[in-house]
Order: sequence, then C-alpha cells, then structure tokens
Amino acid sequence: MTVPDETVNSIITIATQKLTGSLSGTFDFANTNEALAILSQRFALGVCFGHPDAISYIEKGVASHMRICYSTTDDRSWSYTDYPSEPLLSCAAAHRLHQNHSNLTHALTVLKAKVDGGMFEIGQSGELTSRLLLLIAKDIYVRKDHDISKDSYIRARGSDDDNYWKAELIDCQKVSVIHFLAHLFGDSFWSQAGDTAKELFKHAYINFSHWVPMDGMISPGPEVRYGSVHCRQVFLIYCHTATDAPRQSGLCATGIAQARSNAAISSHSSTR
Amino acid sequence: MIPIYFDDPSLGRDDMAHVSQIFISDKAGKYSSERDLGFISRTHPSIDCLSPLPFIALLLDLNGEPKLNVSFPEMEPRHPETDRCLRIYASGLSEITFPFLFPYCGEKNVLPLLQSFISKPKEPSSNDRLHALVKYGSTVDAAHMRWEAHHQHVE
Repeated sequence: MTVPDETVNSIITIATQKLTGSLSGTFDFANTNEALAILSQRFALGVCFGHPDAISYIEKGVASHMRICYSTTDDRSWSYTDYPSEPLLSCAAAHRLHQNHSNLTHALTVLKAKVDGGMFEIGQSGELTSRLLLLIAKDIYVRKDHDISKDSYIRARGSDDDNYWKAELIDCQKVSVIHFLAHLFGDSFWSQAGDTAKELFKHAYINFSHWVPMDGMISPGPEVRYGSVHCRQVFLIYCHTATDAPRQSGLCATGIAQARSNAAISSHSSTR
Repeated sequence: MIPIYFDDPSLGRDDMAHVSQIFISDKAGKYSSERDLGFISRTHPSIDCLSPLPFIALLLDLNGEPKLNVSFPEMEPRHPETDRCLRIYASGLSEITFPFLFPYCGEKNVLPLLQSFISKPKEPSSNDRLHALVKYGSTVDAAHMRWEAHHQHVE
C-alpha cells in the first residue's frame, strides 16, 4: 500500500491550527495567546482569577484556542472551562513546542512574564516547575533520535508496516522506565538503584503527553480513574497537598485550591 | 502520579493487573525534605493503589543543593502493604541532578527559566521584620516624650 505521507501530518497540522488559532506553520512569537494555548493544553496552567487579564484570556481560549467550556452555573454568570485531555492535541502542541530549538524558550519566556504578572500560579512547592520538568524531559527523550523539524510520527515497525495507520505519534509511544530514568537522572542512575530494581522494571513503560488536574484523592476506584485513560496511556495526574507537611500521605490531599481553580470558574461573560 | 504499564504477558489479560505508578511529591522549601520520601506509601487512604507490582516514589526537592539518592530495598517482602518501591530523592534543579538539561543551560536558556518558576522573593529576616514593626514604639527622644506627657496632661 502506498503511504500518503500527508495523512498523519495533515491531521496534526489541523490540530495545531485549531489550537494556536493560526494558519501559520511556525510559532508566532508576537502572539502570546498561541504560546499559552500550547502550554496550557499540556501543563495544566493554573489561572489566578483575580488577575485583570484572566477572564479575557479564558474567553479568548474558548473562542480561538480549543479551550472548552464544559459547564455553567444556572444563571450563566459563571462558566467552567479547561483544556480537553486529548492526546492528539497534546501531540500537536508538543510538535509545535519542539519544532525548533527556540520555540520552547520562547514559550517559557511568555509564561514567565505572565507568572511574574500574577496571572498563573506556580504552586506552593514548585508544582508548575515539576510538571514542566518531567514532561519536557520526556519530550526531549522521544526526540533524541528524531529530526525535530520533520514529521511528528514514526512508522510502526513489524510485519504490518505497510499499513500507514500503524504509524505512531512520537509523543504517544511507550517509553521504557529504565531508559527514561537514565535519561532524566543520568547514566549512573541504575548503578545506584541496583540490578534487582533494574530487573524488576525491565517490562515497565510509561506513556504520557499531558497533565490532568485532579481535585481530591487518587483513591478510591483506580479502575475508574485509569480505566478510560489507560487504554490511551497518555496522561499524568497531579493533585496538591494542602500544606507543606505531607507527613502522612506524602502526596495527595483533598480540597486543594489550585486543582479547583483549574476546574475553572472563568468569567462573568454573560453579565459583562 | 504517572501510570506505569508492565508489558509482561505473564501478568495475564486484565490490563489493570499490569498497572503500577510513579508517585511524585514536589518540594521547594528552604530545608531538605529527604526524610519525607520514606512517607510516600500507596497504602495511604488518599492513594490506596494497591498492587503486587513494584512502584516508584520520586521526591523532587527543587530548591535544594544538587543531590540524587536512589534506594531499593533488596529484602523487602513482597506484600501489598509493604511492597517494593524504588525511592528517588532528587534535589536541586540543575544540570547536575538532571543531566538532560545540560544542553539547555546556555543559549537555549531553558534551565534558568525553569529555575525562575520556583524562586520566590527573598524575605527579610525575622530580626529585620521585628525591628520594622516595633519602630514606631521606639520614638523615645525628648521631643516625643514631651508631646506624650502633654497629651496625657490634656486628657
């Protein structure tokens, strides 16, 4: 079967155009909304609703940058918005973010200006940095042997490799835990961890393309939590400790401000 | 939390039997939080993700000095309550702890940008703060005392 190279690329192109709100094939450095849309879809940016530009940013996101309004209050004075957990959209965002080496710097510079202006939350314990660090690490890992200016997919290998629909998006491939941790922390990582650990994780893979904010605890019901998601294997969850003393859980607690704000009360749009 | 999938046919057909997790705890305090790494447990009611598969606990102490400490208890019994955990303490957001960032320190400027998201304004010391707050009560020179005495006299 002949492989129409444009098929996968054209889908990614359309997704990128919808996300950036632009037909341009390259990053528009003058358009801050484009950078924020790309980052918001993947890194779960928390908006500070007291900021004077917050509402217009969210309205613009819904109107032109694939942000979705998933609920309103009965009187429609408040709307709840966020980015959809959609791996294809994340792949499009990742492709644009790493299309050339200056795009990532540009996008983070835009975000830095907005954070300094008080429009986005960084978290009490470096949560934003942590989300950026881990996902960018994985982005860089999957692009190590891939020409970043080229396609955002790789062909499947194997007996059925003439089927172009078996092409795999580079940001949705499974990544060996052993290789990823060695990439993240350096080649000496597994010599510290030991051969037993390396042997136990030899079949372990991760596969994620974006963060999903979560309000509440990871438990109960892991089937519900990952059931629908794990078949696509492309997400991460974050939640927040309410205090800086997670001595009991070490990780998650309930009723956290940022997770709620990500769920997002956005605007008084109908009354303005 | 990042899900881990064990692609091992011997675990059976049920996908959920293949799932484990990486639990990540973020810290950006003034002091080391390394001890907190040992408290991460998936048996805690807020997590409750029991599985016989090994999992990973990662504590990112972003404001600390560069340090990487990895431990995996060789003799831990295989039991859901005390199951096997690869514990990673990664301190300091730098190319020393995270070598993949090394090419992104210079012209590309990514590392300083990431660092800037955790830096908070330097707070005054507690002495400076106290001094500033009680400053108005320290006006004890002659002119002030005379005014005070007069004020009391009028009352």
